[in-house]
Amino acid sequence: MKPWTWLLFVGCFATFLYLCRPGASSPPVPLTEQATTPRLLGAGSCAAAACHNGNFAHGQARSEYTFWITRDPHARAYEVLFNERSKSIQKNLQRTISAHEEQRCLSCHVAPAYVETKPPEQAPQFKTDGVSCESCHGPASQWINEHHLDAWQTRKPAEKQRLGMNDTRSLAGRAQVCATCHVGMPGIEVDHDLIAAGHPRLHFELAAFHAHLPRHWPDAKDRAGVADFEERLWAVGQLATTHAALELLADRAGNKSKPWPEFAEFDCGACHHDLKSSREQPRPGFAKRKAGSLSWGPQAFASISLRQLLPDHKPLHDALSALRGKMDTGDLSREPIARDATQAARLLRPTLDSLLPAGPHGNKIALDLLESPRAARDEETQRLLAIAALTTSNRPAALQKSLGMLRISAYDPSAVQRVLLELRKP
Amino acid sequence: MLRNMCVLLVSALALAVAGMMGAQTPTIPPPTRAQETVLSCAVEMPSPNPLLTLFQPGNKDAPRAITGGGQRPYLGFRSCLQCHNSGIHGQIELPGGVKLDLMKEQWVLYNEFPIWAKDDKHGQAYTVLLNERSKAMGKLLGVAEVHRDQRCLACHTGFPLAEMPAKDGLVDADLVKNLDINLGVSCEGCHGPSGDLRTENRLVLKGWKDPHLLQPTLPYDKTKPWRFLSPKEKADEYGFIDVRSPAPKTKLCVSCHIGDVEQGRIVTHEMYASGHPPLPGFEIETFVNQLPRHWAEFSTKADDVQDLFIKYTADPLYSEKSYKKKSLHRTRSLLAGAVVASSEYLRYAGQLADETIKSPVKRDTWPELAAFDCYACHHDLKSPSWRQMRKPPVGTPGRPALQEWPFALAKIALKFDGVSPTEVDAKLADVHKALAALPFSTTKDFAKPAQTAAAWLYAKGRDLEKKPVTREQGVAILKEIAVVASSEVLDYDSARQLVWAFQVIEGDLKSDYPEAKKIAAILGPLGKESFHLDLRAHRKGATAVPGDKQERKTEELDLETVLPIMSRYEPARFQERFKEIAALLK
Repeated sequence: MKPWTWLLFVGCFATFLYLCRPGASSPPVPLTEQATTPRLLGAGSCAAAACHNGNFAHGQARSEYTFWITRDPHARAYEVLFNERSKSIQKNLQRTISAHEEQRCLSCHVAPAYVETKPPEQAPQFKTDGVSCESCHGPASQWINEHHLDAWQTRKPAEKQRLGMNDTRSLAGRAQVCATCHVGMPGIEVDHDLIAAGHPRLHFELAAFHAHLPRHWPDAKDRAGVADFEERLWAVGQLATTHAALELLADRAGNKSKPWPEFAEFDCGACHHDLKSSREQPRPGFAKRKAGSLSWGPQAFASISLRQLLPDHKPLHDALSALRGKMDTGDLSREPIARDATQAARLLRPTLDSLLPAGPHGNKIALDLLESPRAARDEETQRLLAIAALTTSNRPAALQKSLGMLRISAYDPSAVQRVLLELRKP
Repeated sequence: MLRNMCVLLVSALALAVAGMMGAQTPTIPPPTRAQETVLSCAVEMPSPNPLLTLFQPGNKDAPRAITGGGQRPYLGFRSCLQCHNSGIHGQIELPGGVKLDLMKEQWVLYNEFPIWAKDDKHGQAYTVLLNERSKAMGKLLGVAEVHRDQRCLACHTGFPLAEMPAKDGLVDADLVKNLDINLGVSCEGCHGPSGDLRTENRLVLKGWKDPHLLQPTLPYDKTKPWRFLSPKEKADEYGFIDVRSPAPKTKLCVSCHIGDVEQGRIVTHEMYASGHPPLPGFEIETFVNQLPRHWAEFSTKADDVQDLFIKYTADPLYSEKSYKKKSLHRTRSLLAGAVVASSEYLRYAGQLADETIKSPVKRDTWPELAAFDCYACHHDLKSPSWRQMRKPPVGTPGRPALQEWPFALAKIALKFDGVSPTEVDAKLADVHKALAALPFSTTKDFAKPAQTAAAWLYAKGRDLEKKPVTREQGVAILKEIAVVASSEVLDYDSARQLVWAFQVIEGDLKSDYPEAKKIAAILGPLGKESFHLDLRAHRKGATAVPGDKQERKTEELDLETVLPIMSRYEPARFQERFKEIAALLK
């Protein structure tokens, strides 16, 4: 055989191999022209032993899938839709289909990009994986063939985003991905109807959730050269979750097809307590709020934390104060609230990309937060989580002991109050 | 001679009363010609009741309120004392030449005032505005003097708001020293202002003061004494509120005990949050028992008095068809009252949602959270909880819902009237639909249907008050209560309505029905433990009232005792007890 035939043979084989590579049916499209929406391929596409299912030790590269499927509760997100609680939620909502067929549930329990009426062609059983790779990292059809190549590393996050891959490397990007479900966005949300039907309410703080997530990536890489990682995480979390919450609030208030007032925006504990006399149950009081009016809930803390993080951003604080004023006064007209929320979200957006050349001054902020008066229990919980995050790198022994009393998985407002009371002692 | 003596006696009495009250003579109006006529005819009065000294007012010149609002003037409790304090002696001559001894016939007791002054908590309605709780409320509400705030006075005194000039919602500080205001809800608070309304000496509205006297001002039609006039005539012609017929009576009570926007009687959610005790569900007979009654019920009067009344009265409730001597009168009132309470609750909620309805006090904007079921929101978040065992909600979960107690008893009453609970729900469908569509709904979608349903219910209440209840029917209603109480998961207020109703009917049957003893043994402890109502068992207190020389004695509701009972309530236990009762009644 002549050498050139050999060459031809090898060339053909190489071509064959190239054509047979995963995802080969959709050749890479030039970045500038993305006509089609990125499609979901399913966790199976990531789970080759040579790729992300390496079955190495925890935190090792190429074992992300292994670790996720064995440890990460996100992998069970779909399964819970079959449990008794989910059944009873559907029954209470008078829905005739099951939770695992309900788009409203699947948007978070599978993926924001998942469409029940149009399951991914290449992975018809996609939803059974729960919150899997592409739920957070983005639909992979347009980047799966490239993301393992060296060239991919030189792409900017914005380019990757255009191809469908979310930025989970930067803390701001990561925070926004989490916030999509853990705070919600227009169309993907846990509202009070759902909570009343039996869904647990949402209560999110990035640093605490991040600390408890079985991380399938090398922690050391996150922390390289960052002494105050948790502080930064907390700060980014405040910005990203507040931004998401404001956009959601703007939609809830502004969108006339949605229920309003949306009680999920308010502090659960403000209404949900047995009738008790003030002597029996000392309350934080109403502060400037009109007695008996609804009290802005999980996001109310943002107006305090953002003042610490962005002390000079007067327009933002004015917008947030105006919004909090309206949410707390009991005059809940839709339009003004939607307008204020939109405005505050717009002011907040740029700070997400530009924050923290040096990170916040953790312990100082923690002390400042402690000095503010007692508040509603959701706000107090956020305060305590903030203090915990902000003092991670430099925590006084007394605080360490107090925090030891708490378990984040068992949310107990009275324990939170006890700890804060202890900490507030002069 | 006799006439002169009588006039002298009256003057002396007036002075004596004034002396005991510590007020100057002018605060008690001199006897009118009508009173003179009465007294000169037949009546002599014994000395005033020492109970009057309870109040010991210190102010010498309590200012008189002004007449206003185009309504009949309020004459004040002193004008009632002349007859309704310690009794009058004499006879009344009725058509057909019948003469009855006033003290014996018991048509009127003539000791209404002392009963009220001694035991009726309405007499403390104003005083409580000065206690610690009210002060704490004032702080949270941003009101320096709660006892002058129109929004509070609308219910905490019987004195009409229209007659109390106010600046920025606060009534003149001296004016509230007037006993007619600060003795709380006294005679005319419930019976209606009794004076004649005159403009420039022209009589515009005739008040009931004169016509209700034994021998009113001439011309006096002897064939039409006050007692035989129809309640409608008394109300329309003279402004005398019908407190005899169950439906209007209930409507009057709940104008405060539930609310009425048009009269400025609104307990807002802000007030509750600031510390106002929760208004309990209203059950007319239980509440009247607690007053206590300052009258003898018709059925307890002497036969000849009853017969005479039935013969001559223009009151349609005492026609042959609608009045049966041997029937259960309190039960009838209870049933009508239950339906009226539900109608008035809906009417009030509709009023609150309708911002075009005028009110004499400053109104808050909708939504008024107090219009809704307290317990829909106010329950500790826990699982498992009895709330989650209930039937799934009618509309959308998580939406503020109507209060449940008004309908718990009303449905049982309406069933007795031939209206099934399903029909009631159908009448309320639009209201529920509006509330399921949007939290708190809107004026447009909610106010109208609420008013429509309220009007239908009120008409049903008026139907029911005309239907005598036989003993057999009484027992059947007890059974129905037991069935509902054992099969439905009721909230605390609804459960309490049923227990109260059961007890009233039981009393009306004089405990003479099958297994009464066994049932009482079950219900007694349950009632006592969780639903007991005894207004006089409350914490004893004393409160200083401006203008008084010494503190007034009060009984104050202990929320620290009452509220935990509500929190501890577990329907399962309640259902169990009523299952036993239902079994005994079979």
